[in-house]
Amino acid sequence: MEHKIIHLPELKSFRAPSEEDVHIATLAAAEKAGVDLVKSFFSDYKDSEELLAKAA
Amino acid sequence: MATKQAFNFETFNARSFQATASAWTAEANAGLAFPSEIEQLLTWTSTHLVPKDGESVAFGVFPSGSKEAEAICEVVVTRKSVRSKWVKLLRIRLRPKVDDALNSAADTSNTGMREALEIFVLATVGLLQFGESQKANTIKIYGRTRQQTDFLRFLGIELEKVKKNPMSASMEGKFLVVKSQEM
Repeated sequence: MEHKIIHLPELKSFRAPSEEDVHIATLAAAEKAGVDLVKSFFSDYKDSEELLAKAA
Repeated sequence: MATKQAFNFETFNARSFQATASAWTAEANAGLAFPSEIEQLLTWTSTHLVPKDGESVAFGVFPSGSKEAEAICEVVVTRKSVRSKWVKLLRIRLRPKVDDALNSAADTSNTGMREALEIFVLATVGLLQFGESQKANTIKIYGRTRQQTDFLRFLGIELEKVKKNPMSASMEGKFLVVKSQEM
């Protein structure tokens, strides 16, 4: 039996922005978010093991 | 000529894990973090050193030339279909001395916050570059709490403003989702 190979169009792979662009975006986001939200952002990753399995 | 990166976002090897574990444990024992919490994190790291599709792996943010990680990141690569591959950042944990400075009441000039944000930038850049190297088409950053998703929403808005933007960024549930613009 002859097998036909179907070629699907490839999805474009991701292209990373520059470090400078991410840097500027992050600092702007932090300024808008404020100090308390930024601190929470880092602190809230502690003790989160049980929920990470779902996110994976 | 390409400039050398000032940091490395990479998986741990035996040497870098040992160096990181020693440094983080010493800082925790000096009162900069709960020793049991750091021990738990390092135990998790030690059992997630080898990348496997669909399973979490530990990445470190290493200053160039250093074996001590400034942060430990949980990353997972999932293949959703033959044509679709996702790279997800599930959490980032700062080293005890950085985390302590971030939360110090004495940090009135926000030096600790700036240092934490610099590490986050390096982790994000490293994650995005890793996604590109993996030929992934979607990069996701997870926010567990409302505060985290609020910050990620601000970040997504700012990433959308990047000139000559190679990506789109939006919130999908608890994830900041970054994709190539050309999809």
